[in-house]
Amino acid sequence: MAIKNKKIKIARIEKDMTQEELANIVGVTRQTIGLIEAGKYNPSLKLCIAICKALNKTLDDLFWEE
Amino acid sequence: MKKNQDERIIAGKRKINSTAFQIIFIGLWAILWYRQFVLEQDVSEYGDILILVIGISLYISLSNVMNGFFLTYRKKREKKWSMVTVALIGSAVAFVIQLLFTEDPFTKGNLLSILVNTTIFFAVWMIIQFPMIRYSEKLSNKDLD
Repeated sequence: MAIKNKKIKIARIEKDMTQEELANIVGVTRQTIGLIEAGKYNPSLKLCIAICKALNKTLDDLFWEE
Repeated sequence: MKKNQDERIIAGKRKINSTAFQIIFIGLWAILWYRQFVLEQDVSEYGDILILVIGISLYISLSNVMNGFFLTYRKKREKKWSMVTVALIGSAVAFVIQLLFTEDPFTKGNLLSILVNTTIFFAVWMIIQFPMIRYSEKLSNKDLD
């Protein structure tokens, strides 16, 4: 079962950003951001870093599971 | 920020293309074998397909070796096992094909000839793999120094 990545969704909403806007910043489609948030796609490290930079967060903040 | 192409879509498209290639490749082999053994055509009639299939096969093998992927991701024991298994399967297929397409295959002379051919086929297959693995291993470690 896919584990949802709520941290990205929360960070995105905190920055008042839509999936489409975040997708445009990191250079992917809206669907890819949706799938990452839904836990149905594992992004590459390169894309993870791009998302972190766009949301002013660290990799630990968004992708580390306790 | 510099735009990167959507990696998910690129990966998905590569997977589709890869599957399509595999289907085409298997199809080409099937056409080749059908023409050679069922229709019993002359090599000149299917030479283009033969060159294409051999070319693609060589490209795949050499690319794997040159990129350091040829069995290098396996453990030593698995590597040997894989080499022998693949060579045995190939030789078994060659043996069956020779049996099917030789007139009176079970006469003493023909059977002996088929067995000798199969043994040579197996030996050559095994011998070719050693330098390929050695060279591939060398190349896979090239950038680690």
